[in-house]
Amino acid sequence: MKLNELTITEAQKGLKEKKFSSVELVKTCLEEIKSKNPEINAFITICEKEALEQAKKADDLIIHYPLSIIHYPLIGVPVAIKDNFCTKGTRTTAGSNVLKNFIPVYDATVVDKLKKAGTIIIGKANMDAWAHGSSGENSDFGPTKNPFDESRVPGGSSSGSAAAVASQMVLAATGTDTGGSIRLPASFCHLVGLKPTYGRVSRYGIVAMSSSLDAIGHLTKNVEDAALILKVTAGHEV
Amino acid sequence: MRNSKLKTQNSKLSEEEVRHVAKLAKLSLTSQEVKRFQKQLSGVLDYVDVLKKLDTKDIEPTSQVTGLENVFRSDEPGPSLQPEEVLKNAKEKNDGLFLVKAIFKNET
Repeated sequence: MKLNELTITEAQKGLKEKKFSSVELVKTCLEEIKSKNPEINAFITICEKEALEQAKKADDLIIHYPLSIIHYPLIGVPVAIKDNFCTKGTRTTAGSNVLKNFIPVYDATVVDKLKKAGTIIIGKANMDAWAHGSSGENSDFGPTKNPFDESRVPGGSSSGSAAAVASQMVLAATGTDTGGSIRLPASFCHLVGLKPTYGRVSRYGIVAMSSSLDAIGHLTKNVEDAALILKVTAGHEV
Repeated sequence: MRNSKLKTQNSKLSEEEVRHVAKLAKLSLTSQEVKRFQKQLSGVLDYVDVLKKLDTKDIEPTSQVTGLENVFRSDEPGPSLQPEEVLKNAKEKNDGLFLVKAIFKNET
């Protein structure tokens, strides 16, 4: 089994037992992205350099400070972030040309929490512009394809998130759901999608579709992984 | 409650009252519309009269039934962005402010 095909739980185990390194895991994901993304179009921005730097840091921690990794519940896990989550210093478009040059000066609370938990952000996932769409075709950066059949839609608006996880480019991805934007792509792409209760996860730093309805969740390969991520993302902003 | 019974109620709004409500809502109504809404709004009031017949003597005022309350984080000031950071994505800026084209003509 290739490293990018692992679940979060399996990857964590392998990393901690030093069966492979975080750099190896990230590189495998990046290779998968390079080979599949030109067709699938799951990513708007790929953060290769930053991801490899973060992976090296994760490996340092695992090797030199093994006792400290208890504080990093998602250490070394490569994830995709839907492009409506503000990422400090990394372009955030919400799938629209209006924001094609927007570089946030702060991280969304969820992004901050995921970084502090040790995840590695591989890139920003394509989406229906402003999260307005249910098919993934409504992005100014081109439609995302369903990895199971490229003639079909992956569902949206968290289209790139779903396609990236389903095509094994990343282990998990964040999404937002107001009227089905996590649940639809999860079902179209054979994934577990979680739309948490409104307010369970902070909306701070996320380009709003409908502030009183937006729920912040994620897409994973199984239920256990969904729980692991929710444990990190749930709660107030700090 | 049947319609025939509703009609026996006597809470018909006057045309004047309908015009007043329309004025408050900044709506202009034709005389036909005044008649139409007079009928509809009176119907709403009649329905409230029907509800009033319920005996609620021993029932506490209830706005929701779960008893749950919102859970908010503490609202305390924390570190915030520096002006340079706030303006970083501005297309044009001037003297620490966003520079945008004027919307109104300056009438002097």
